[in-house]
Amino acid sequence: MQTRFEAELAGLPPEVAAELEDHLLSRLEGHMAAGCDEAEARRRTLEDFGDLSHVAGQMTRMTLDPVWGRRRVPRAVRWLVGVWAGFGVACLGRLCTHVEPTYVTIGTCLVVGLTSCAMALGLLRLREMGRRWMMGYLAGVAVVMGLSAFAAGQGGVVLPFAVGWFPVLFLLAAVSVWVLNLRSVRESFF
Amino acid sequence: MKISKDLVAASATPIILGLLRGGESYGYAIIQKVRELSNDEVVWTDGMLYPILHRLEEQGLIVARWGESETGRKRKYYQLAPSADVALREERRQWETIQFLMARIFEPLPSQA
Repeated sequence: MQTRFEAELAGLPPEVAAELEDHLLSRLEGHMAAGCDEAEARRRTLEDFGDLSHVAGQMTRMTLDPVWGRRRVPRAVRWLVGVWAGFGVACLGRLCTHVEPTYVTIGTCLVVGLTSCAMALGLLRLREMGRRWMMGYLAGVAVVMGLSAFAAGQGGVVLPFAVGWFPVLFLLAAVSVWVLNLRSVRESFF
Repeated sequence: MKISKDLVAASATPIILGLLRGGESYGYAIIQKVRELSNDEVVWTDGMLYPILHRLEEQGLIVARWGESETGRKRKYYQLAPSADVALREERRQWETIQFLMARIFEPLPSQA
């Protein structure tokens, strides 16, 4: 049953195809439960849907970025990346004004920032997938990593902030995920 | 009775937002619910719903997540975003105004009373 509309959905972005396929199969099952044979149920399903290629085109245009032709980045992720890019620039600025930057300090700074950002994105994705237990697991891993980084940070690596702040960075990332899930900071606070 | 295309299009957003007040749902179930609540008077073309859902998602009024159906298929579920409350109240206010206006307009004329 999973492939009954393969031809109609060919070439669509996977998430558009998956959503439409679920709908078409649900409708097909409804018609078959009402007594139609498969061919008749299929014909009625497509008739009920209307102009499938037109609707799929509309959905695809909304899913893909009009300029780049790639999957449109959700607004929450755009904000997230923006906030963390700003944070990274601020950290680097502070690094350059307070200590002599070296590849090690700049590299460590970037790794910490990128790890936090990746974890925040991971949380966002897990929340979309409804995997709450995995979110808890990821948070636990982050705390352990933070504590490890804190221990390693005692080894004398010079940073614009103590490595022990890593858990705080992670928490900031997690909070930003929850806040940004409300789609935009403006909508969240006003 | 067939509801006109224009009216169907105009009322789709408040209907969807209103239905999602009751909890998350997915496209097929939303269409079935509309049909059921209207006693089969409002019958949407299946395909008209999805572009509207995607537009509402892009506007931040609803939030989507991928889950699984009871048969294990991938299914996209939608729920109201917290920020949708204001939009929903405004939609409701507008429709109540129209409803009030229509009731006044279609009151029996004095000559008919």
